Amino acid sequence: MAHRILVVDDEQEILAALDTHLSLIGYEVKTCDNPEEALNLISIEKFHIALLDINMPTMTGIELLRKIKQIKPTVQVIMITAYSTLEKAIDCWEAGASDYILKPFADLDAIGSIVNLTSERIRRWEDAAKKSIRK
Amino acid sequence: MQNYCLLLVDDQETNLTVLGNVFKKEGYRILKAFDGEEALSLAFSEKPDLILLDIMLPKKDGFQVCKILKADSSTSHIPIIFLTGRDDKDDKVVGFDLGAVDYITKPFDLREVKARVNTQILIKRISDELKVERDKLLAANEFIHTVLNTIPISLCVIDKNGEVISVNSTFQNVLSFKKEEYTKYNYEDVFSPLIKKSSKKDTSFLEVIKMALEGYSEFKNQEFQFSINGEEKFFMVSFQSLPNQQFIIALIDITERKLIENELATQSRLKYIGEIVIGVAHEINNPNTFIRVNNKNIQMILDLLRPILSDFAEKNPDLKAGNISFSEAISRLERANQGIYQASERILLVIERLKNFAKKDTQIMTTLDVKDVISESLMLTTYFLEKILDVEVNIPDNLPKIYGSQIELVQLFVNLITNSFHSIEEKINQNRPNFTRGKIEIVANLSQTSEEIIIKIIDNGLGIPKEIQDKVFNPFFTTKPQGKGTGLGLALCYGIVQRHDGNISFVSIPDEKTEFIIKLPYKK
Repeated sequence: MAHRILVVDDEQEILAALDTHLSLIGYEVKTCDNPEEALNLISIEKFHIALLDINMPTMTGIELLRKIKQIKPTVQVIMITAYSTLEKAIDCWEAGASDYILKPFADLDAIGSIVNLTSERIRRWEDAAKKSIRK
Repeated sequence: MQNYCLLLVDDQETNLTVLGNVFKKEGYRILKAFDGEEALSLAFSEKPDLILLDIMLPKKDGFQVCKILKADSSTSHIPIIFLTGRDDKDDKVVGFDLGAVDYITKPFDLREVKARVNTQILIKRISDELKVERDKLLAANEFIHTVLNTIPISLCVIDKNGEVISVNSTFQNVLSFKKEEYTKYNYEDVFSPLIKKSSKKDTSFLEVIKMALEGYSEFKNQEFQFSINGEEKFFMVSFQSLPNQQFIIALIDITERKLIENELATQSRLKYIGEIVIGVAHEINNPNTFIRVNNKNIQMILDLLRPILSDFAEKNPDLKAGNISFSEAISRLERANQGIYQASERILLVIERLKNFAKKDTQIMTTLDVKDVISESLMLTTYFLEKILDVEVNIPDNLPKIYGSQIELVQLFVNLITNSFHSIEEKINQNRPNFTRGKIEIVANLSQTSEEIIIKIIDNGLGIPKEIQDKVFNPFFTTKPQGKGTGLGLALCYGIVQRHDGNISFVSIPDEKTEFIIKLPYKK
């Protein structure tokens, strides 16, 4: 089963582009353009990975990250940041983010590889969980 | 008649006594002499204010005494009244010829003597006072002259016909004008050589002065530009009328202030542009992000579709998209997408350079050797340089080290060297008759004040046209054809030098040479 990814960004064009991109790589993608709705979706649906833009109008990426970690600590959160907000991304790492992607995606293959890496890590935990249940 | 001194000369004691008593009462100081010799010695030692001189005297007569006193500059000014025993017309004439101011005939009426003496003393007093006033005026004049010649304002006085009456030393020095020349000239002769013929705007100086002269009107602090010995100078000019229908033209040299103002304007403009650039870069970055992701998506989908589409095209050879075959359309689609990718890469690059220009955070700074920086810059550029030009590097070994970012400084010199190369390349393309071979000279040395290192990049290329010289550091300013240059090269250089607490400027003679001068502080 493909891992589910929630992409949160206030810009529709980015959401559409990332939706297609991640879907093409093989993930099940849902997008959302505001943090409040994102939090709601996380609490009622099962997501493995969340991609959060670091700068959003109503709630900053780090606030959303903290709330997600409170309600669903296993969701792997990847921050999308510009070079100018790299410092904030470091704060996010300290708050539990698992990785970051640098805009404007100078290395286009980076999105796929970072998400894949995260996905592989989740897969290892899932495998471990299955093994322990068999025992 | 306080303080005035009378010398009475007569060989008859009674005369001396009578006169002495009378004038003592009047308040004079009295000196008496019985003969010519005594009269002379008293006159020289005491310098009396008036001498009553008898003609018939022992040892030397009155005429001889008078002659001697008038011949000596220390006594020539002392008025002499002759006392003559006889009413001899010849004696009177001789006396006046010798410089006497008056004569009194003996036997004298004391009231007459008193009146004549007092008159002479009054004249003497008035002339003394006038002399004091004149000395004061002379001193004041001298003072004003000194001040006028010392003040840093060039002054030129002209009459109502425009003839030059006088100029001060500053005028001669600043406007390069020799003193002996001015009296022959009209103000137009003086100023026309200083006015740039090419520039229509500057002829207005003569017109403005002419109008002021004709209208007897004055003006203050108008700015004019002159060219003095080939150098551009700015002056603040005032025109004011003086008494006697004369006029003064006052010129204050404000060239230096003007240059500083321009420099400050350039700096603040570049700073301002830097701030805008950061904002613009951010705004462009965002859309470029989704251009890039979508471009990648299209590529991925195309990769999936390629075999299916090719297969489909093969099976339907007659299928056309407009005027081209279906298979051609597929490859065009790939090329179009590739084009979008390249465009977005270019946007990335431009933004990267823009950010470099405006960057505030410091790069990794280390101690660097100018020689190393230059040789690395040359290493990156020689592959295209050596084909068409010679490079001459002259950097002393013992130059102090500078403190800076190796990457940035190399970028700076690569940019400047590349610019020089392009300038020479263009000159070669234009087939200039007198141009033999291109040359780039790189010279570094310590400044005279030993406070900084001066690095010069000199080329014999096309030079920078005068009219664009103040714009070359502006971002996006380029003379290259559209699509060939980003117009960020020199803006970037400016930013780099600024971040190193240095200074970049240039001197360029169109068609001859361009010299970029970079001043960098060295590490103490």
